[in-house]
Amino acid sequence: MPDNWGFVLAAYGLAAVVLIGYWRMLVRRERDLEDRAGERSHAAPISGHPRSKPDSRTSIQ
Amino acid sequence: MRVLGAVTVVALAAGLVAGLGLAPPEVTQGNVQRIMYLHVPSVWVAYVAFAVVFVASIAYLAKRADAADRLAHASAEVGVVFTGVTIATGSIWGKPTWGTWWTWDARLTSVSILFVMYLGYLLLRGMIDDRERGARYAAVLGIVAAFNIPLVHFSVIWWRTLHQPPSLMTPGPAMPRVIITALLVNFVAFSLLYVYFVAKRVHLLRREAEAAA
Amino acid sequence: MWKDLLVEHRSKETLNALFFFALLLLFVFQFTLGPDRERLAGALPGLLWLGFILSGLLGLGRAFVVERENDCWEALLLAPGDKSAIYVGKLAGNLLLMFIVEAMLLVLFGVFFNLDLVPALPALVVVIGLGTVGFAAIGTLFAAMTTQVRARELLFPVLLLPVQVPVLLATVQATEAVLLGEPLGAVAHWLKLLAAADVVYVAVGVLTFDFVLEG
Repeated sequence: MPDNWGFVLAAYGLAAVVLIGYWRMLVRRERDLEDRAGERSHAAPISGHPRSKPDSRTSIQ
Repeated sequence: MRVLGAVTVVALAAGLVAGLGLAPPEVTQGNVQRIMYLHVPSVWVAYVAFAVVFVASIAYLAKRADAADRLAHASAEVGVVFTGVTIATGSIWGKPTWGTWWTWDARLTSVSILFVMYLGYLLLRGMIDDRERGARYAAVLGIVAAFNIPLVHFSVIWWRTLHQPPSLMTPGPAMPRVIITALLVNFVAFSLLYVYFVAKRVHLLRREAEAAA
Repeated sequence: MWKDLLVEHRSKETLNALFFFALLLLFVFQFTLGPDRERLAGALPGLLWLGFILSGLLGLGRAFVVERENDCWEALLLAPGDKSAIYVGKLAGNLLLMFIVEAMLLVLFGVFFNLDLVPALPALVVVIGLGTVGFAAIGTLFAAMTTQVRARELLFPVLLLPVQVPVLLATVQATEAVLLGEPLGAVAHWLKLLAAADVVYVAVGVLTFDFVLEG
């Protein structure tokens, strides 16, 4: 039934949109947080991005 | 974390291939039945998520560990996301199968109630400014909601079976092995996705808490 | 608990307001469903419970407001001893309130829609009793939780209604059967569900109320 492939794609597409959207929200919020943390630590050297310092990497990176 | 993410993506890809390509079209429903590979793992993950909320809520009230609170919050949020996916895919599956976008069958109805209950949970958290009180109240709600799940389940099934035969969506007793395998692959993929999301969300919550401190 | 009963007695305004509200509901039901007797009869159990629930939401939503407004809240929090006793007391008070409202609604329904409820009355009492306990148990808990939240009036029903769905389903089905003249045995499974729900809800309420009142 060729017609029904539309529904299959719609379902998969919708699921993908939702899940990827949620993932992107998480990533975006994390990035915002890190940016704000970077701005707040005036003591940090300009070249030292928090992410590149090995000891600032938390266990759940 | 990166490893987890990578593994998740691989698993999801495998699930996609299995569900869309390898598995054969089902006998009675044709290709639409493939939506099952999305719908069923989603609802499974949602139930797991809410079980985690239950345990984490109890743990929080017992130990007052912020980590437990964050886990409950994250798991509830991810659970709601997957519940939403369950409802949406269930609805899309229903349209060509039953001819209607919505029907008050047992599965869709229970899942919708679940959705609204835990949405309320997130709403409660959002509306309480005091972090400690918010955690406490949410934990209580998480416990109430979890106890309610079986009650919802039974009441809705009894409500429906008086009017309508059980939904077509439960897989039949004798399913070809390919379909079962594809389903399992997707189960694994979705479970991994759940873990990944929760881990990321917990991490985010912890960072937000630290930033606010 | 006696304090609560006294408070309720003194604030008969709550009861009066609820009575008036119930009356209005009846009018609305009549106007929306029209003179069609059949439709009305079919919808009756649902309408009855709709009335109970809406009144309950109003009544329970205010359960702790009196304390809040009179600055008794802090006193409650600081009270020594088992906070669960407060829960039970509040629950009993709320139950009494709801039973009175439900009795009023039943009478009003009987009068305005010309129904003979007497033969079904004992069974009806059982069903309504079980359902109301379930409603009030969680309602009291949630009322305490939402008292101090922004948009309290909105959050309370939003939280309570989804949780109440199984109880609602069970009671409406059971009420329908009872009103059709069936014996209680016919709806035994619903009654068992209600009983189970009641036990679970009250137990959870008793066990978690301490955490809600902590401050």
